[in-house]
Order: sequence, then C-alpha cells, then structure tokens
Amino acid sequence: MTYQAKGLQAWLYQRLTGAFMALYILYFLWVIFSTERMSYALWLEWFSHPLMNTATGLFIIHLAVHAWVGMRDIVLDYVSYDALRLMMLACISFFLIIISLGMLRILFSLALII
Amino acid sequence: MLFTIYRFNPETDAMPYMQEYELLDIEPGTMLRDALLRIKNEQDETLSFRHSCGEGVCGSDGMNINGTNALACVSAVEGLKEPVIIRPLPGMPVIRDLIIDMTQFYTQYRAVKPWLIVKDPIPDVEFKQTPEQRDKLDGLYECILCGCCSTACPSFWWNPDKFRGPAALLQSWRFLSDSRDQATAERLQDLEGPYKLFRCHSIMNCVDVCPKHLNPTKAIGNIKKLMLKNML
Repeated sequence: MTYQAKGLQAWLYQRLTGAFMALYILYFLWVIFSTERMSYALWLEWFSHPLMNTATGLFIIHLAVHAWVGMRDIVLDYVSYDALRLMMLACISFFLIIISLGMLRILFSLALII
Repeated sequence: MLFTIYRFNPETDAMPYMQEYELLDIEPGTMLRDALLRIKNEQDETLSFRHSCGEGVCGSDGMNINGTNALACVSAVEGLKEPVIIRPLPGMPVIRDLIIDMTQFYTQYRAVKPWLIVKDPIPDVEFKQTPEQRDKLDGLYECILCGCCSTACPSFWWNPDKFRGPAALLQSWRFLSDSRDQATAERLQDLEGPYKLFRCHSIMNCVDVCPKHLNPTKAIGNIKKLMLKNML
C-alpha cells in the first residue's frame, strides 16, 4: 500500500484487519481470564503452538497495516506540506516495519525453541 | 438579551473582532434572524448577513450560533445561552461579517454532477419510477445547500479543495440511488482515491447540525458499501 493507495482499498484493509484483530483479542482475553495460573512455561507453550504462533504473526502484520492506514489518515488530514507529509509517512512506515519485524523475530524464535 | 457578533469589513478592518449588542423587549417566538434584523434596523445598519425566505427553505442564513451551525431563521432565541455568540460558518473565507464565500462548497457540489445522467434515448413523455424506487430518494433530495454540514466537518476544513464534503456526497448518493440514473460506475470511479470520499471518518457532525434532519454520514456509508459491492 503506497501513499497513492486507493481510498476503498485502504478503507477495506482497515476494516478487515480490525475484524481479525478483534477476534484475536477476544480469544486472547478469554484464554488469559480462563487460565487460573498463567506461568511462563504455559505462556511459552501457548505461543509456541503452530496455530497460535501463526495467528499471532498474522496479528502483528494486521496491526501494522491497520496502524498504517490510521496514521496515514491522520497525516492526510492534518499535514498539508507535501515534503513534511512524505517524510512523516516514510518515518511511520519505517517505524511500523521495524517494530513488526522485531515482534515477528521474537515470535519465530519461540517456534524454534520447541 | 445580549448578542456578541463577529464583525469584519475587509475595506476598513485589519482583523475581525467581536461586537456586542443588546436587544430589549424580545417577543416570544422570535427567531434569531428576526433578532439580527432588529439589530440591523435599530442599532447598526452596517451589520451584514445573508437571509431570504425566513422559514428554513432557502438555506441562506446558515451561521454558527453558540458554537453550532444552524439556520438563524429557524433557531428560536429563547433558550439560547447568553451572550449569544454568532460567527460565520467556520472554515470558509469571510466576505464580510457573517457572509462567507461559498465558492469552494459549490465547486465540490458541482463536481459530483448533481443531475441525472441518462444514456438511453430520453423517453417521449416522462421517466417512470415505481413508488418504491421513488422512496429511495426520501431523505436525500430535501437538501437546501445551506452549507451547515460541510462547514461543521473537520475533514472539509482541512481539505476543502479535495474532500467533497457531506453536502456534495449526500447529493452524490441521491443520484447513485436514483433508478433513472445510468452513470453509477462513472460516479463511483470519480469518488475513488484517498480524498474525495474517504476523508470522511464518520464523526457525524453533519448529521448533528443539519437543519433538515438529513443524514449525510449514512449516505456516505451507502456509497462505500456500493463501491465495495461493485468491486466484488
């Protein structure tokens, strides 16, 4: 998705990623609250399960896309100088990519432990 | 009753300022337009504002009353918090006092092609619609283009040259949902891109202020849904 991303496309991405994240968060909270004593070992086992590991990986990617559309909306609304706008969009993309890659790295390292 | 009114005459004032007026013996049922006319006639003939029909049909006297956009002619002064602070509709260039330059607003309105586009030969007598098809236009055609909605919309304040604004988009949906119109694909194509339609974040300021109780946010949602349906 670029700066020139079509309006409908961006809008749709935001909704679809939002729906996926809502489901993930509900499941996440349900497990957290229904587990009596969450220990590190349990946590590790939970996140190392291929399904949970994949779902969390998808969650991280969805979060980045969702945040990108939202931040882009804010920049398009409030920043009117082209140069500043481009710089901010570049910074936001860079930040989101770096932070997502970092999270994915941690996640995949879990999969390798088991 | 105390009124604080935005004043600006570009020929004599370097900066806009607020001026106070006091009206005594206000009759019950007085509308704000009547009060402004009394101020103009009795106290200060330089006070300028647009007005015409006086009953919420022409849409000339949209203004910002105590922070909310409304038509002065259908806003009763009774119950308004004092002093009543009156400003021009926000986010638009001021020509003088409460008179704003609506060019940007009309440009966006014109851009959605607010007329029927028919490609088939035009029928000899009349276009026919079923009552159900006609019902779809209710809540859309009643817009009087007063500008209260678009000038209450932050997205329109930030990007008035790119975002169509709630008033124009309501009219866009009015023609998209008209059974006689044959330019659905072109209309939707025209609205693509991040600005024209998708600057709307559904904060519903437009719905809140519309003096005709119309719902531009719903119309915008319907356009998005139709776009999605056409894409799939």
